[in-house]
Parts: sequence; C-alpha cells; structure tokens
Amino acid sequence: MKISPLVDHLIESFQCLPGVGPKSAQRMVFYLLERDREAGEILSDSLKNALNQVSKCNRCRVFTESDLCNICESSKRDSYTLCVVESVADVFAIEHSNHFSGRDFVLHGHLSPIDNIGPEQLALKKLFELVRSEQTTELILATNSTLEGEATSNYIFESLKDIDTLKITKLALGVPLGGELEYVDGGTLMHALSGRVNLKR
Amino acid sequence: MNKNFNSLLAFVLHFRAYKETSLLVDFFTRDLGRITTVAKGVKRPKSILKPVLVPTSLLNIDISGKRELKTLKKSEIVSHFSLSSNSQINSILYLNELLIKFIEKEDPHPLIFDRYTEVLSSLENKIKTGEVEAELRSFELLLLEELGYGIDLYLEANTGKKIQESSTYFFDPMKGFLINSINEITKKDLLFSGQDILNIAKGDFSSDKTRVASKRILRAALDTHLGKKDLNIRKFFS
Repeated sequence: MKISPLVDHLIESFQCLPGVGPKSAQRMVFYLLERDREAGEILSDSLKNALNQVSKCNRCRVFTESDLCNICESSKRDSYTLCVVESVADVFAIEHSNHFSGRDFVLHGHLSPIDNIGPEQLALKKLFELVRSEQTTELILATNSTLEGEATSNYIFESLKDIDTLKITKLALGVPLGGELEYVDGGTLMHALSGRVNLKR
Repeated sequence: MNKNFNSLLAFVLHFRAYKETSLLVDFFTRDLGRITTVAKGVKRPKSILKPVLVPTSLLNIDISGKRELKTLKKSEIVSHFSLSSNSQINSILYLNELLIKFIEKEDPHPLIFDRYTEVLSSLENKIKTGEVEAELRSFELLLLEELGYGIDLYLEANTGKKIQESSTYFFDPMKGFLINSINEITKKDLLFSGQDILNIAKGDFSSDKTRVASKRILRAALDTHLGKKDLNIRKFFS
C-alpha cells in the first residue's frame, strides 16, 4: 500500500541496511514518525555528519573524522607492534580484550579469488610501506581462521619474511574459554594440541 | 512441498555474509553437485551449523528446499584435513575456483568429488612443490575428462596413430595432439615431446620437464573451455 511518496521513500531507504526488510523498515519509519521525531532528527543529523566527515585513518584505515584515529594518535600505544585484521569490527573486538597495546591495520576484506579480490584491492602495498617506514618489530597476523583469511596471512608473510628485524606472529588457535573438549571439533583440537604450552617454563 | 536431502557428503567451496548472523554457503556435494544453501544463524555462539566454518573439512550435511537456494539444516565434520602452508592453501583456493567456474549447479560429479577428497588428503603430507603440482595436474585431467573435454594422451588426433616417444607434437586444445601441423607459424610453447605426453598419460610427473609440459597443456585446455571467464587466482598469486 502506498501512503505518501516521502514515507515510501524513507521505508525504501531503511532497507539498505543488512538484515532490514520491508516489514522492519516500515516499523522503524512508523516509530520515528509517530513516537520519537526528536530521535529521528538526531539520527538524520548524525548520519549526515558522519557520512560527510568520516573517512579512513591515514595510518591504520580505521574509520575516523581526523587524519589519524585515536589509537594511532595516542602516545601510550606501542608503535612497533602492528596487528593486521580484516575489518573494523575486529579492531573493536581486539580493543575489548584490553590486552593489546600496539596499533592496528585494517585490510577491509581478505584475498578471495572467487570474489575477484586480490592484493590490489586490499591496499596491502600500504601495509608493506607502513611496516618498512615505521620500523615495526612485530607484526601480528590476526586475519580470520578461514581459508581466505589464511591465504591472506600467508601472502603477507611471504611478502615480508625477508625483513630480518621483523618478527611475524599469528594468533593461537585452540579450545575456547569455558569450552568442553568433547564438543570441540577435531581441527581446532589438533591445533590446540600442536600449540600446547609447557607449564614448567 | 519441501524436499529434504539428508547425509550428503560435502565440502565448502565458498561462503559470503548474509544478514547479521547468517552465511550463504556454496557446497560441492557428492550426490547433488554444486549447491548454494543459506546457513541461518551460523555466526551465533551456539549454532549447530558451526562445523561449516571449519576450513578444509569433509562434512556430512542435511539440507531442505525445492528452489535453487536450499536451507542448511545440519552439518557435522566427517574428517578434517590439516592444510596451512602457502602452497596447500593456494592449491585449495585454486581447486575451489576451478569447481565454481567449471561445474554447473546441481550437476553431480561423484568421481570429481572423490578425486577432490583424495587430493586434499594427499596434500596433507605433501609440501614439495613438485608433488603438489602433480596432484593438481591429475585433478585437472580428470575434471576435463568428466566434463566431456578429455584430452587423448595416447593417440595422435588426425591419424589415430599411437603417440611416439621420440616425436614432437603440437597441442590444439579443441582437437588434441597433432603431428602434421608443426611449422614455423605454430606457437613454440604448445609443442611437446611424445615422451612428456606419455609420462602424463601414465601419471608419472617425476621429471621437471614433464611437469612444465603438463602445466602448459592443461592451462591451454582449461583456458579454452573456460571461454571468457578468467581464473582470478592466477592473476593474484603468480
């Protein structure tokens, strides 16, 4: 049913979001128009401002409105340790662990021949330049543990392994916290076994 | 009416994100060939479909649906292949791209499936480049054979005479090996010795020369039958 061109257009616009279909879009639009116009204004303003001003950090490619993001500007961060991740969501996940004090680099994807995503599309050149210019001492490869993620890690490793001063590490794989061995799949368990830790050390 | 298929042996060829916690997964199954399914909620912490995410695993899956896009109901790991070196991962990516570009959806090829399983299992123990290449070449030969593009490695294409070890042959991807058309115009990189051709026929890839020849022959054949489609992995990792 068509109500008004403006309302229809707004419902259609909401559907650009992942996981939002016609029904949920309609619900959101009616809520904003009926119940909370103020929130609607805030939403539209912040959306506009963010779209106009937010771009990628010159160094790590996280979203930011300045040239450098907070992490890259912070002097408390260890600038010699660099963690390579696939997405901005991964940076948030790592920050949440409260255990990492180095800096990040976001690839915004992974190598995937089937999707025609190659080294060029991932700005790997920028990563390689960064590692050389900042004299990084440790590069942590934290791509996803998928076939494509592994391929991406391998590619980066092969391209940088000749730098003598650079230590290249990879996230460990193993039993999740609170996990029962019985329910851990064979592949993960095998990695957990081969990466077992010597308790006496 | 919904159609159910239970206990299908399958490998994941590719997946992409779908909505918040779901994935669209391309499977290569033994009985149904290549199919696309939606794995609903697979990214949620307790999803029973999780095994789909473990790379290079032979899975046992249940699916339902009568249209092209099926729904994944269950997935269990039958066996996991431990592949992590550069050449192992790139080989799998290559095979997966070959399968996606060569095999039509819902066109079963159990022999190709079985060979794919064998290749994964033998790649587990093979790190040397030569051995990996031999596995890939023999997979490509079977793939072409099964899809009706088989290469005759025993007989000369025009005369039907046996290929001689000491002769040189020109490879025409559409016809096969030809002895008469060798002349100055012929591209040099498509000339092969009978010895190499017969080695390939026997599955003997032990000499470097044979491996180089087999790579050229199969590349020419695959390119011809792919038509306008490109194998991206060659651009990225060559």
